[in-house]
Amino acid sequence: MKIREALETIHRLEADGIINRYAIGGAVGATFYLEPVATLDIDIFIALRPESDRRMIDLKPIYEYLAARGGIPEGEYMRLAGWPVQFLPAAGPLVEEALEKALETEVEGTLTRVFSAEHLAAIALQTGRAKDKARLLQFLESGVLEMDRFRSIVLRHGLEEAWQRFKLQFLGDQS
Amino acid sequence: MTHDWRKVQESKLALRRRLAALPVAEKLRMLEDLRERTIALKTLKGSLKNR
Repeated sequence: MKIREALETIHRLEADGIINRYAIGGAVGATFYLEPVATLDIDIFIALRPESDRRMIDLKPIYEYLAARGGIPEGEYMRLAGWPVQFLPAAGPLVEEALEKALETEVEGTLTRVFSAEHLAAIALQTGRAKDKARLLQFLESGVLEMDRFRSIVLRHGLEEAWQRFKLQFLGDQS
Repeated sequence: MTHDWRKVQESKLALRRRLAALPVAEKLRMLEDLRERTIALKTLKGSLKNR
């Protein structure tokens, strides 16, 4: 499985100290909890080093490390085992918390780390594009969310209004 | 032929739940297949546009 190879290489980035901490987000992250939905790339969120710019990450060491292991740079992506991988800074309190609380798991013997279902759902609520709303609906309908945990994330990160609007628009519920 | 839309919705939800409950490795394999199909469709759409 090619994606497993890509995940293995990404995990080695952290093990070899090239990045601090990473976790899978986006559609690939959601696939750990939901039915698979087509996606073209893998989103990897990385912890920013304390001294670094809050919006930017220096991709050079990452790209150099990966290029030496068969990775192919393509614009803002690095192609690993055929998959375009995008490295994104964990910028903002919600994504920082999602990264801190991300869960270690194994895919056919390969260690990896993925955002919790509740954080993925909260990030989808915060991001708010059509595909994010569809993902949040998937999470809600699937029954995989621990709703108390999800609500506490929503409260902690000031997403109550967005959550009320979402419920009104998609769940016919103002409660 | 009649359609009970509620039953259709219920069976779709049940299918999605069955898929969601599959082992992660199996779902990632499905994700790879889906990606290949998406790329094939995009290529096809591109070639139709260029006609």
